[in-house]
Amino acid sequence: MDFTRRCYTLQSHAIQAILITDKGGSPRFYMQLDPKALNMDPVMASSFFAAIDMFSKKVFDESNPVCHVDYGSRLFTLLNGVKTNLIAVSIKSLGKEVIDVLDSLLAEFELDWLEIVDPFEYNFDTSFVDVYLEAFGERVMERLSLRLLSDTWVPYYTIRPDRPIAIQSLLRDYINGSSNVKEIVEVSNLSRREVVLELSKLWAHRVVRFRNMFSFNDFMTTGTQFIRYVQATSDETKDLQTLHPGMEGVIPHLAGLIDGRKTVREILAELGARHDESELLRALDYLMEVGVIQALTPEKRRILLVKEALELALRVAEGTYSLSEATSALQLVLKETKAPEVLSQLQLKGEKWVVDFDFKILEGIETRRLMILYGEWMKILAQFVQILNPTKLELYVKNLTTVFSQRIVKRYSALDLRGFEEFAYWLEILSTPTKPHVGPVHTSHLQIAWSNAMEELAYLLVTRGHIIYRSESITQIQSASGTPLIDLLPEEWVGKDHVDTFERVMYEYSKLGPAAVLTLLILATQRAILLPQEVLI
Amino acid sequence: MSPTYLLKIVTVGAQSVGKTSIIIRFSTGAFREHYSPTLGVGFAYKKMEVGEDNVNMQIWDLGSQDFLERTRANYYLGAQGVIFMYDVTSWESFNEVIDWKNEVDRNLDDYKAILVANKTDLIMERVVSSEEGQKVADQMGIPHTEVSVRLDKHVNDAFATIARNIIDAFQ
Repeated sequence: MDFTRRCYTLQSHAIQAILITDKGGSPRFYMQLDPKALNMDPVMASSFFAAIDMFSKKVFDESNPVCHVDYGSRLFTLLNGVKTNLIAVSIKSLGKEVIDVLDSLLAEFELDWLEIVDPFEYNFDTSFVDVYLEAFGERVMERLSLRLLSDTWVPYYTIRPDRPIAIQSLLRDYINGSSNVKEIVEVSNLSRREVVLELSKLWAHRVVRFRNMFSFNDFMTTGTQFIRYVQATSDETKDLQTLHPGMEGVIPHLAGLIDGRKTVREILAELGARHDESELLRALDYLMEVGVIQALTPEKRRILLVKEALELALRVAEGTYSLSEATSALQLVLKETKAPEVLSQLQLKGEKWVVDFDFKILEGIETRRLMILYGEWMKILAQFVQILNPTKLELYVKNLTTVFSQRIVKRYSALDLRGFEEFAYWLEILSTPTKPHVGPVHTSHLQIAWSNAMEELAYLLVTRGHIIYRSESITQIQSASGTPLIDLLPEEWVGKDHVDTFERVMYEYSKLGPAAVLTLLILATQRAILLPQEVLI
Repeated sequence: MSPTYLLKIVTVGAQSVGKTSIIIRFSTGAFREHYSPTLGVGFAYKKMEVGEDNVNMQIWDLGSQDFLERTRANYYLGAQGVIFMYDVTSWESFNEVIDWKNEVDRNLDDYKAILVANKTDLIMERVVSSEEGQKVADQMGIPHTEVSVRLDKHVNDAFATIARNIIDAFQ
């Protein structure tokens, strides 16, 4: 192990939190390095990891000094020390450089700090955080610093303004609760790196927190405890009246709008006429800080997208077919559905199916399960369209494409749209009367290792198109666009202008039908490619 | 000059075992972080050398949902190789392997196959042992291999093995 105290700080790492436990499963140190990450209960987590550590050694005879536990989008890296274990929570695999830093921090903790908290003061009457080791936290921050400190975040002191701060800081005069990180960098004449390090130090000593930790494009949702803030007689509302007078009058107006499907921007627009924007943002910050509202995670955003898509698919079906046909089609699909988190969110109100967008049903569900649930919603959507009467399918897909282009493709980000192209391919398959091509696909010079997004899109259109519409259709696109497609590499489609040539291919592809247009819209949005005007809806 | 073989391979297995991910990893070298069910069919290809032979491997990624069975039936036609996949962290996916073999047998007369266990990097969550995987592969009379698509471990070997077996059968 490297016991030397290196003086550089890792500027980029994926660690959200660090936990050090003793071998018996008691927490010794816990610290969040990502202020936005959800808090982990250190006591519960310590027992959990002690059990896992023991399990891996006994069952798998796994005695590696470093091992990983993967929970979908969260990765736990366990480092075995002599007397303690360190667990790093991250959003992706940690590189060797980061693991080396963690390893030396663990060694330092055991040598210099463990005795200070031994015998450990934690007992059932003392909160673990009350015996938090600020000085070691500062060492952690010297080495790793805060993860993803955004320019727009506003640091503020958590201690009373009249209480002197024991720790010296270069930022002492600049943290005022209203200047954001960017403004502090500007007025302090310090470099961004220095500001990040200073804020990291103050964060380690728990004297600062941050406001404005959400973006205007975040979809906001409430947790189960939120209700306490809209009850006039609750302790939470009484505290709020003391701490932030006036805020208790704003929160009930926000309540109906934080519904899991509106963005911060949409909420502000809705209430903008009645309330000052900064007043609304302060209330949202406060609710986020106390943990009763949250921004949807990437996985939940994808689930929201497909739920909205299903609701739109239902409404369009009611218009194109009839209310009873749409209702019975979904009824039929649901006979085969088993996931309780999905079934319970589809309600028959009167004769109409309604999607419930309350995200409390997904509280505490781990990421892998969320991904499976995304798959379940996609499956329901796909089956629902498949069951509809094929004689009107072309009209239905046309109407659906128009609605999706406005309400889904334009509203969601490229990341949210990941995977949704599968539904567009499915619509293409359903609305193509000819049998698919199942023989070898003529790939010729077509490349799979793309050098740019356009080539990737060309590859997808040609190969998928080949299978769905058969090779004749691709030959037609080839002759109509004057593009050699598969007989030359896309980079050789120069003609007069590479982009013009590519746009002709997209235009010709869009003529294959409305589902082909939807495919183009989604694939192009995912890759930030501008579609030709003729294709846009 | 060695001949170039054009091979059609299909991947089958329970949902979320990593069928699409293994194809993307094999054909592009990239790892897909997000999960999304394949609806219908996906396609990828890779030109590779297997021993002294050149191979253009065309891999068809078949969606695994129950309601896609009729759609899948179309795409088995002409396949010379089948990759049966399961996830070592899911008993359910392992138990479904035999069901998948039955479906393939209903649609293909003569084919080479390999049983591929994915997600071996998830050590703590693993429930299906190597021995259990090997036992089922032996019952099916096909080779068995363990891969980690995330860590890119043994992915190319799995495809090279099935390609070799198909080519050997031609000779």
